[in-house]
Amino acid sequence: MRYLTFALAKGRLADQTMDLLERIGMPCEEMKEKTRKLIFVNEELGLKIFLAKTSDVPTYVEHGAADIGVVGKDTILEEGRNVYEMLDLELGKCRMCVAGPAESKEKLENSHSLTVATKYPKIARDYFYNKKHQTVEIIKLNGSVELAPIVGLSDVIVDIVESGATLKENGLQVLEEVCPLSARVIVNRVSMKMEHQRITEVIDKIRNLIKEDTK
Amino acid sequence: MLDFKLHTPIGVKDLLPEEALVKKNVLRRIEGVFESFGYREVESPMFEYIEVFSDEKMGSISPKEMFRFFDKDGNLIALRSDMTPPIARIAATAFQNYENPLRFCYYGNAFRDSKSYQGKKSEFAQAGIELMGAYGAAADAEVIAVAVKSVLSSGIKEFKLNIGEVNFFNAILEETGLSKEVQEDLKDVIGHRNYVGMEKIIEENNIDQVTKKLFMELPKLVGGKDIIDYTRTLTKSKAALNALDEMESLYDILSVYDVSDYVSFDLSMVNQLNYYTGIIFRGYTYGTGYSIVDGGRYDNLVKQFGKNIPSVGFGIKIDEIAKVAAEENPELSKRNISAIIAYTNKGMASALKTALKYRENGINIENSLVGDDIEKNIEYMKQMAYESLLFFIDENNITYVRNTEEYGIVRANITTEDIVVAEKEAE
Repeated sequence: MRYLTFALAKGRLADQTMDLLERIGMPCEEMKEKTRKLIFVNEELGLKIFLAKTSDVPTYVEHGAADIGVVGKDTILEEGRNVYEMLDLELGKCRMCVAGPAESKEKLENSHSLTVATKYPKIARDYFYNKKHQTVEIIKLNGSVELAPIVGLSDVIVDIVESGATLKENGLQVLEEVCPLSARVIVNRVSMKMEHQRITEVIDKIRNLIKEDTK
Repeated sequence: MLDFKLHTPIGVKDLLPEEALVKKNVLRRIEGVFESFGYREVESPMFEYIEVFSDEKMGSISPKEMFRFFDKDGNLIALRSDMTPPIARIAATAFQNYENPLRFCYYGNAFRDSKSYQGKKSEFAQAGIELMGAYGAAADAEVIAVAVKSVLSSGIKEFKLNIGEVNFFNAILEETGLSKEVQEDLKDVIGHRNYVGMEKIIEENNIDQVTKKLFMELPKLVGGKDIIDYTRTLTKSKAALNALDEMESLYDILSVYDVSDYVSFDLSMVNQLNYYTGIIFRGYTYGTGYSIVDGGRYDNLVKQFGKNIPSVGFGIKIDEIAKVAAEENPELSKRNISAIIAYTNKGMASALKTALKYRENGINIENSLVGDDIEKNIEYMKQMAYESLLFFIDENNITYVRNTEEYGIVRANITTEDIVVAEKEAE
């Protein structure tokens, strides 16, 4: 039997995903120990699991280095890779939002010279250009995006909002919602065809678990 | 400082002898299959007026992904981004008054300006066929059979060809009764393989239960003849049922061609760009994350060039296939040469004559040109992985050196008379 390889996005999502995998009979306890090992192999079930930086998960899956990946919808949208998006895990639910100080609200409506700071330039561009038909200047940042409107780098930001607490503490608020987000199961195009049965089986099992959980 | 002359641009690469050899051997085998079905080779230029590739319905590549430049008259030119439109142009112009069908094959490189740092190539080798002016399952089956047999000829064993049908998908899309816009959205999400998005659209809209169930099961409608039978129970659409009948007769012909074991129907396959008009198919194997064969029926393409004939064809990605086949099939990396000659001044004439004799008898032999030091020649022989070396000491005397796996370097002293024997044996 060929290995079925999973790429999981490092962090809380990986832990939650591993819980799901354990519940469908794919033990991952070895993964949960703190080690420096990057990849874990279960010979018996023919499984390989590795953790990768979130934004790299779609890359591994697109090239077929991993058959299946678990990653947030934000990363899928931003990376725009050619993969199957098979299942909404309903984990890590949050929203992609336009946020800023209250006084930016008017500018957001009417300005032709709006500047937008974001870690997600592609999502921001798609939202403003294709949905709102508004020309904006996008500035790509790599972290602490909330700073940008405070120090005057941009008028608004496009970022992930969970509770909104960070925004509030910095005097910002949600101005518009771009789209809801959650974790998704993605599958390589070739794997989906070559290992159709095995992969569909895994996905169906997880799908049923989620259905039970949400009941 | 980056010295550009030492590097190749992103997206292109050199092929060193080992890779070039595998590629050539793969190509030869595929050519053999194409020829055996009567396909005739055509060559289109490496660049053309951009309209050939960019006009609507021409293909799958957006002008942004093309390498574009101007000629001296200011016309916009594009490097060949797709192999099929130029062949449609050739069929519609040079073969305007010919009886159908026309069978063409091609080998060549196509170019696409892909994004940097994604590990994607900008230049790739393709081989393919186009069967123009023939309708129906018999024509479709022939093309699919050629595709399967071509891939198998390279030595790849684990291979799957998935076949979809545009008319089936369009029929069930119609059956939803949704507005054109929502239908487009639905097609778009399925085309992008976003099944989460598909389920949302299906759930949110008012669709009858039968069609809803069909869409929900769509990703699973992959398999042999049984899938066709099963799918018949899922739809009442007449057009969809007709498409399923077509697929069934296609399957029957494929069985006669003895390729049905490699073929699966995949009813979730979507025609994203309105290019294909009937069957669509893609071939997959292990060892590469991308499809290795892409093809289908495109009845509206040749019309764009002024001759209205239906067509079906496919392209094989030679680089991908060579990469996988080389691992499965050592035959592909075998050189058709095993010996070198070397000589001292006194042995030169005899050595060169002997080498010529070998070549005339169809045996490849290389003149080392390393000089008259036998040890250096043995080093060279090892580097090039040759099995034997004939070192001519003088007109008649030769040191015969063999590089054997078991004993390493073995030497024997022989004369030109022994060579004659060897030559006869070779005959």
